Amino acid sequence: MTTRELFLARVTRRLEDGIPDNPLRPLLDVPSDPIDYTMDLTNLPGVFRTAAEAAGAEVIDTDEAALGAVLLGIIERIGSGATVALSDEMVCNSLAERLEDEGVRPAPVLEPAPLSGVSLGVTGATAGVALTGSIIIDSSVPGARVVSLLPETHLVVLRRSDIVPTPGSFLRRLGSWQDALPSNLVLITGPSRSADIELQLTIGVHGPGRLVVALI
Amino acid sequence: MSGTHAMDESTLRERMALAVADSRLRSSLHDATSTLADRKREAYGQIENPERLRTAARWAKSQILSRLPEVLDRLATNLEMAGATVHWATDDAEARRVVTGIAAQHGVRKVVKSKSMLSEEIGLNAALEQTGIEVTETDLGEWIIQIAGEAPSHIIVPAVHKDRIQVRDALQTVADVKLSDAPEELAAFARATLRRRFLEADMGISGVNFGVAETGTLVLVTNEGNGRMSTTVPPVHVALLGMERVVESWDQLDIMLALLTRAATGQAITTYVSAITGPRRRESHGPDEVHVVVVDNGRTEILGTEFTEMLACVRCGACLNACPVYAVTGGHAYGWVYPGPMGAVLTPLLARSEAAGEIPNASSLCGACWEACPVGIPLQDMLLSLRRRHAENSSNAERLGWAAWAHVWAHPASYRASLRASSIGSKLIDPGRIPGLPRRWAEGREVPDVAPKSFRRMWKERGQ
Amino acid sequence: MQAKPSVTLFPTCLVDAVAPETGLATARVLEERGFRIEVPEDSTCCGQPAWNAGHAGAAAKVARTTLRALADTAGAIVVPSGSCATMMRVFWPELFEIEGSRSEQLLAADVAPRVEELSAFLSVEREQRRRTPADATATVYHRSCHMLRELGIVDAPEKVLAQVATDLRHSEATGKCCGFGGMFSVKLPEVSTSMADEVLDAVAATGATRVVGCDVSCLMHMESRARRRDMDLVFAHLAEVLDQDGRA
Repeated sequence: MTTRELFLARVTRRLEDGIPDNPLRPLLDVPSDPIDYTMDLTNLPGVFRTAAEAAGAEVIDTDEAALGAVLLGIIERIGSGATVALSDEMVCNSLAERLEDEGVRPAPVLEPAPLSGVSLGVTGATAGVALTGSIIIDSSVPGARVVSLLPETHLVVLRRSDIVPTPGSFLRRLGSWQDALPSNLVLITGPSRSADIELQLTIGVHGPGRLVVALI
Repeated sequence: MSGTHAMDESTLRERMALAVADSRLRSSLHDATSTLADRKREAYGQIENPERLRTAARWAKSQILSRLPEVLDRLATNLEMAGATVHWATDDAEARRVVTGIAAQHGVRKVVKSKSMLSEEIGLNAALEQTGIEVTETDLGEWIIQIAGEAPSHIIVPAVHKDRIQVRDALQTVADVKLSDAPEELAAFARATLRRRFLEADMGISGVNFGVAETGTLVLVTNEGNGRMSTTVPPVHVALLGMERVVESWDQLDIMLALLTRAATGQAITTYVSAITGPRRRESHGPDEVHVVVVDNGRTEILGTEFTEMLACVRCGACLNACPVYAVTGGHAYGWVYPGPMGAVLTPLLARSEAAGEIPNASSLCGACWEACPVGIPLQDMLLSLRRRHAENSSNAERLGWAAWAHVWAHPASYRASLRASSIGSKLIDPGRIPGLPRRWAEGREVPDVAPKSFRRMWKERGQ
Repeated sequence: MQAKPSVTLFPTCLVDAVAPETGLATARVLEERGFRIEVPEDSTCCGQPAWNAGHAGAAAKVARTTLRALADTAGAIVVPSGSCATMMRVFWPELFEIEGSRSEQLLAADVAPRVEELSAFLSVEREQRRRTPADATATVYHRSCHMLRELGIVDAPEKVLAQVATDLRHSEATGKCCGFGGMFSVKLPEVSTSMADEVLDAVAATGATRVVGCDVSCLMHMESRARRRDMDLVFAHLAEVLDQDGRA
């Protein structure tokens, strides 16, 4: 059984004489600076909307007070028999109360039963990325990891003030996250898709087939 | 290397000749490679200075490789701090033992897999199946070829060689209802069928696009969601990590990711970018255990040689899409796990097979691969180096042929005399002594007309 | 009267053996532009055929003869072949590093930078051409791989060609390899001809009846395939097209 020490010792030995130069294709020392994109990133929510829609997401401009109505509207569109699950975070907890008022019982999330049959999953988002139209889900929010994955439709509540310009703006901060990183952070851009058959785009493979972003 | 591969059962020429004669395949490949190459070009347009970004990525990778022991050490320490278990596999046999061992320990009967070229390289599926485990590939393209019993023919779109009718025919064999050949319906069938498998699986196996040493994080990029499903739902997640697929920092990850998704599919970002840092511990959902298997399998031998830069490969497939040879032959003709230019370099370096020596001949050295590579790997240089290595290590008729050619052409007088020969073949002295060389030219082409006088003769006659 | 500047012309083995007219056309084109031509008696081949096949020793044996012959010259060494110019400019230093003596490495360091592919040399024109372009043959220019990617010669050939030819068409397969690749053409003949077909079909789709290039190897390969397929295409080296114009 190879141990870390044995494995790394072999690698170290191989590098004893360094790596040969390549005079024909010389290496240039260029640092990993933040990337300059051609897009104008001044209006972050506007750029976010355009990019998210291009990736197939629906974007609803709203505010916190109207969220309940937005949610109920989506449930109504899904039709009778729609089931809902919500992650356990502030913005969702008030929505859960609203649902209870309307007589809709959210599906249990923290029990082992899978959320596979659930029509609609509702979560907040840790952040959004304008350039790509992505939202970020943090697994330390109870239920968020699976509520954003298993149901058919995923409704994300994203605060405009949490939108950052580029993937790098978010990713480059992960080295100095205040606590240890959660077991899972995922950047989600649009509904799931595949182009494996004749490079034809099909939407809705294993992740949610529909992504709705409510901007507040 | 376990099991037999096509390259052990036929010659390169045989496989390639078969491929170019398949007009259906040619048509699929032409469309796929040109589409992907176009999308890449468009996506690069989103970056102000893509050449500079490429150079930065090449530099970053060279730094990482020169410090690889330290990077791996830091990665492992941080993985363990996050609660993951790190295993070290020197070769494919050890890697298979580690994974089947983990499976046995947990009484695993069913495995779901998210795409991993490394798992193909080490022959993992067969090893798991031999212990009675049901293995399901969940990447749509990989699932299609798994059902069809074929090898992947492209590293990003493994079933690219199949048109929709061929895909339908494959999936029909596992379907109870009659399937149409519409891609949306086939994908819906895949979703329904594979969902059950995800929920029933005891273990999920994935590859790793990048291991980030700074925080002990595994980064996976997918579009379908099968990567998330395989690494979230089953209680055990096994991640196969090629020892070179690492970065030191999130700064480097940012630039590598920006290039990978654009070079591979022309996307600014894939639908899902998962950053996995250990098992769930006190969180509500996620695997209880995360095992990372760091695999060598010949990579250490590449490190420190003139081929070191090959370890910078991010498996984007851009070189396949740019290669004029791949465009007419597809991936199976290369005979092993990795096709196209990157495969032509990796096969002789990693595959333990005599047949691997001729794979670098599958190139006209046009350099399109180098031009396309997001991390600037000079693939065509490496193919040439590999040809030199192959030539040195074999005492064959070809060497003698070239020696004879050199003898005549190294002396101006005998060179000029050879130009007076009456046939094209004897003019060019049939270098390489390949049997039937004139016949090989003439099978598909006319033979060029013989010039009655050489340029030198005419120049002399002109009086200069 | 001021002496004419001289350039060295290295014809290359393929021009010597298969396309001598290209060599003469090159000489005339250069003379028309006011140069005196020297062809070193003792130059033979640049060694590329063996180099690309992985036989560096054989390549060096032949290349050093040419290296020594060219070391006796001064100034520009014009080569009517993109792949040979690449071999000499880009790969000779590496070749003689692997297989040559110290003195040969020094000679290569002197000779290599003096090598100029013909169209690149011509594109640095001192005077504007005053004749109106009169060649109306529908033409596609074929970009040979080595000069495109190794020498970075992208627009020069077409700019020079446009000085004499009026109907230049753009092929979808611009930049795609013709499939020659030296021994590749006979080691994997089916792939080689398929690659030629991709290029030829794209040319035919433009309606062009002529392909012009700067590499005899590519032209010979494509022409051989086109003739087998009875395609309505002629193939000409850039030097020949310029020469025709010069003699018109």
